[in-house]
Amino acid sequence: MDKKTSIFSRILGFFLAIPKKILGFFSMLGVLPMILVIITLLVGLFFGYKWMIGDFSSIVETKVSIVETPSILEEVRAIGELVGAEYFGEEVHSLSESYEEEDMKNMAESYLEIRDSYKRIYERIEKMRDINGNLIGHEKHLQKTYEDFMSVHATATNYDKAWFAAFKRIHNESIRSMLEYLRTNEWKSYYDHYKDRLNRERRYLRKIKNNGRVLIYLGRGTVKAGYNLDAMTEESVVRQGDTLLLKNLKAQILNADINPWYVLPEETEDGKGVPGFEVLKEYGSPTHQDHGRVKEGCEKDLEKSAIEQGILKTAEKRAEETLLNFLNLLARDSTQVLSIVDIQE
Amino acid sequence: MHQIQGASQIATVEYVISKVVIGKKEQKLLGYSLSEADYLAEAEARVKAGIDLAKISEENIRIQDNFIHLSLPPVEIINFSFPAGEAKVNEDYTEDGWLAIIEGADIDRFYQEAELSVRKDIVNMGLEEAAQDKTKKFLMKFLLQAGYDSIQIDFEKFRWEPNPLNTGNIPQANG
Repeated sequence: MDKKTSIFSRILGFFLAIPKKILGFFSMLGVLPMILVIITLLVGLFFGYKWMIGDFSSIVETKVSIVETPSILEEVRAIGELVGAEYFGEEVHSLSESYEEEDMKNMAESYLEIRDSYKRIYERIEKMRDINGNLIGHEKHLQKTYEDFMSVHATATNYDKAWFAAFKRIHNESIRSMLEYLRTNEWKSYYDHYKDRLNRERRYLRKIKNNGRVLIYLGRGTVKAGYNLDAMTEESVVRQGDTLLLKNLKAQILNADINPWYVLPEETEDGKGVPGFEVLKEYGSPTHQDHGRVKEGCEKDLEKSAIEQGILKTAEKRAEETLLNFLNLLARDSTQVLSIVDIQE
Repeated sequence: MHQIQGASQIATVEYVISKVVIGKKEQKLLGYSLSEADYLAEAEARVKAGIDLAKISEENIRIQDNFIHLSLPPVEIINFSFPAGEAKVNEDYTEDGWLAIIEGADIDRFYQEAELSVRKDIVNMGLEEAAQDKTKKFLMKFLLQAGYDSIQIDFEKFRWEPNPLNTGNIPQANG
């Protein structure tokens, strides 16, 4: 019994001594650390409480706002567009797709730039012939052509240089032979012939430039198609009995828009609206130009889809109906059929 | 979600409206601003206005010999375009903070606010007169070709909605 009491009193004594020891420790260090510990405890309790109730808004807050600026009317101009059809759709576009389109364009432009600048110098020496029509010092001049080209190429943009190096890698032969090949081939046949290698080079060059940026947008918007009636002249209107022909008019895309709002907040029951653009994925810090690129890509895809879905055909049919109805309303007109055609004669 | 529908509108005037979009993103801790990011871009809205020909019926037309009187429906917005992708970002002003980073969703918020602001501002720009004028001139050509030498065109009375967002159209018919 005495032994048990003794063990119990020893344990109790140990625990009772802890605060005393802590106080002793702090009194040894001074008052300041003690205050710091108390503050840390209080801050910990405050954040712990916020964490428990799931409310961090009063602690960490992100505020996004815009500064109100005036909208300035820059220009008012007369137009004459007959809208015959409207397309509503949504598209997903990624930064890598935008780059691919851009790279394909740059690749073709670089090819043509290199080829044409070589061709220009080449054609100049082709004219240098003697009285019998024989080429004068052809081989010497061809070498000069190549040297001239290289001096021009030295001032080209870095990207052209990169493509020049890529074309060189693809050919794996002398630069002069490569330039001769480029001179005698169109871009399309060149691309078809070296498609796989060109795309490998394109991906390699992009990898260096892209730096791991990823951005994917979902865009919702509208496309409108119809006719630009400004192109209509008196000669465009031809009557053939009860048929009226409107000539030289072609159905076209008049607008392809993805606005910040697809449906305005006030037009939805919950007042939240439907945004035109939504970010689906974003990492690697895309630049502001990247955002613009992908958004424009969504708009181009939207226009493409509208055309594939037959917006132009719908616009043609509806515009003819609309104009016929309008003319018939004017009472004087006995037109039974109205046709809009894309022909001059 | 793809849909094509027919339309019967004639756009007779286009307005080009410039808008400077200035956005700010702040990261705050216990109410104190820790970091700020700024965004500035020059954007442009293109608004096309005209009339809906489907809204014209026999009741809107009165003819007597070579005289025609057209009472047209109110001019309305045919197309509103505010392309965020084409805005020119000012790289000198636009800057991320050490904690506040402007991301895609923030840019979208800036442009959404800017679009609402443009739509609100066009109400007070007096655009309806220009739209009516251009629409009249446009239709005159048609009517002269149809053989009328005395033409009168007016528009149904309308009032400007204080906020045009409900309809997407600038004017509202006043009955």
